[in-house]
Amino acid sequence: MKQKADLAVYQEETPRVGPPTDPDVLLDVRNLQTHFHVMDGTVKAVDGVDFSLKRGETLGIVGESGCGKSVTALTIMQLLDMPPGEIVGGEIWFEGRDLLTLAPEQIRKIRGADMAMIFQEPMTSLNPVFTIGDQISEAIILHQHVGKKEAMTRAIASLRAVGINAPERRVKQYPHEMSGGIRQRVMIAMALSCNPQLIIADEPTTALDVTIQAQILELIKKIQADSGAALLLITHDLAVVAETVQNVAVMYAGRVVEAGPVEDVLLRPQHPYTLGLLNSIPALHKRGRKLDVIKGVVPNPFRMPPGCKFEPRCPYAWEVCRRSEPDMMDTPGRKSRSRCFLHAAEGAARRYEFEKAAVATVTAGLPEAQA
Amino acid sequence: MARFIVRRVIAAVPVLLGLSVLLFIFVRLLPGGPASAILGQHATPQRIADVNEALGLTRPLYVQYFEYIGRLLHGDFGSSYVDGTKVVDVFLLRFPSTIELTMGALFFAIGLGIPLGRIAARHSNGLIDGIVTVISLFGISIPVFVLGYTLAFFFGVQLHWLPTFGLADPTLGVPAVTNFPIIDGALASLQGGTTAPFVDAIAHVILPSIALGSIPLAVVTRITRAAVIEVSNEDYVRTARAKGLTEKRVDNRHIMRNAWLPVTTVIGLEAGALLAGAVLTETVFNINGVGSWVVDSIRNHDYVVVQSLVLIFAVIFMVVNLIVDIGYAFLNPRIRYS
Repeated sequence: MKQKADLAVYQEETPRVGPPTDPDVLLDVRNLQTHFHVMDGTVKAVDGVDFSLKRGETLGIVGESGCGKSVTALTIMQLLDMPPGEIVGGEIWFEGRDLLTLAPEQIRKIRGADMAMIFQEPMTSLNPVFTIGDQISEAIILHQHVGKKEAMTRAIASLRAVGINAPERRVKQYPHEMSGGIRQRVMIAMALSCNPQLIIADEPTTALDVTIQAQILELIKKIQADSGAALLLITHDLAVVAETVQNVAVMYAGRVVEAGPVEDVLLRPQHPYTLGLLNSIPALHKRGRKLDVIKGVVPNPFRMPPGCKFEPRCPYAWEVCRRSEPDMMDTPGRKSRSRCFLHAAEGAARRYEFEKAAVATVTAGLPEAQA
Repeated sequence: MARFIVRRVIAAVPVLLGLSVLLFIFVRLLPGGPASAILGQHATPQRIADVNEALGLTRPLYVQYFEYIGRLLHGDFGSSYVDGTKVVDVFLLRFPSTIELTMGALFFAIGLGIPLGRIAARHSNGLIDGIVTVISLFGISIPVFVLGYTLAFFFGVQLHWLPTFGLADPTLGVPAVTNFPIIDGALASLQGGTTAPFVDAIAHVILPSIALGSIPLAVVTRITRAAVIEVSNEDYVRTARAKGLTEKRVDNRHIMRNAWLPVTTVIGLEAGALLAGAVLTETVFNINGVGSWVVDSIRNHDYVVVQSLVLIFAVIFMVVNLIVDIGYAFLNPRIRYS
């Protein structure tokens, strides 16, 4: 009863538009807001995030530490600690249902079965006291309603699918008997084991050796292509995004500031923040020069700037940016959208300077230019 | 695992040898001696010398030591200087009571401490957590004899709910088969077709167990609470939730199996401390256990009895620790092969 009452209030505040009309859309996140209530006040970690993901599609979310990308992922999986976390508003449509209106028991049945998650820390994400066979088959028994033996057979099969040698032997081993790379493969096998529609990978390669990173990325790409699952890849690494996904959303201070096909966003950036990220990638042609960094720091979550959240650090900001916050805007002739006044009517005069800098950065960074 | 146990047993030998030397010296450093204890305070020096001569205490210490060890190795724990009873006989008669009391206390501490700790962890920093914290603070700070007499007064003297004297009612005439009151009571119940002896034995052990178990209860509660809170924040618990497991399964399996590790270690340490604490409880509840015997023997300078009893306690302590370590290795695959 209580939940129903809550829902009514909720509906008054934000009119719901119902499930996405396009049946191909698997995940549709609308105006998602996740806040953390801490001692010093409320941190709006995710503050109105929108994006959608079609079946079999891949989407990357990039941004600095603290921009809310991991919280977005955990909110979708409903794995946040509440309190201190609270999902304040928004909708998460997944396979025609709004996850935020479902009972915990219904979410639990979706979690691990229809959507699965790969975490950042393979060293600590597996339970040290159970064999990995136990840990993989546990989810299979739960969601696919098979016996222990059949589940173990499937666990072995999924270990084989992620390229682990002698999986029959590996299932009997404990996590401490494996390297970080193998453990991340195990995590991927676990995520795959119930054939999910959506795989969320939260910084899956960050904790790994550079040599292993490439292998794991290749593996994620391969299993995504083989299984046909949609992939939501969360990373701070633009190179990973460039190699792995079709679409990308750049997040800053709890919001998406630029989104679109990966080649548009990375080669024709429209938001000064995206350009700043591209500039700060170390590259061969910049050898010997000081690394370009985005000036300043991420704003204090308790004292967000009143206008555009990036304005204090933005070299192109002017008066209007301090006053109000831009919406996501289209740019003529581009598929990507961005949250910047440069692309509004009042920014037209300043746009040229930005475009010039963007072209300079991108052409200098192209492989041909580096060679 | 067999190799692990063998190694531990071999490692115990030098420890026990060293302990036997220390014990041998320490009991002889005590002022006075067995002769004055036997003869009383008005004994003449001549009589004392005669008794010491008769007991073989005038010979060089190393001769006495090797003779003692030699007899130990033949399974002879010696006899009391004071009343001539064999240590083994008295031990077999009294030790089961101490074991029963200790097990009762452990059962109480673990059986109540782990659920309490889990409840406190689940509601950490809330009202229930606060109540549990107060209970465990009481458990730790009230001395065993105060708690013992208080329990005996309220539940025995005032309310007449539970017996407060010994571990069995002697008027029931239960035959001593194993000397474990509960087992003997159960046997008598089976033979006599009445539950009375068994129920009587259980009723007798309740109050002493609570008195003795209050400190380990507090320790187990605190450790369980801390372990559960710590494990709950681990990444692998989030992984377990991400798999869609029920909260109950995450709790019982993924959290508790890991939380058991520190709890097991603490239980092992407390089990050793319980043997020591049993002395006081046995006194309060008039239980004919080993504890009171050790105290009497020290008072009488009954060298052989003290030496043998403390050595036996040491062996028991080692066995308990070995069992705990085996349990730990069973729970924690990371140390199984080391």
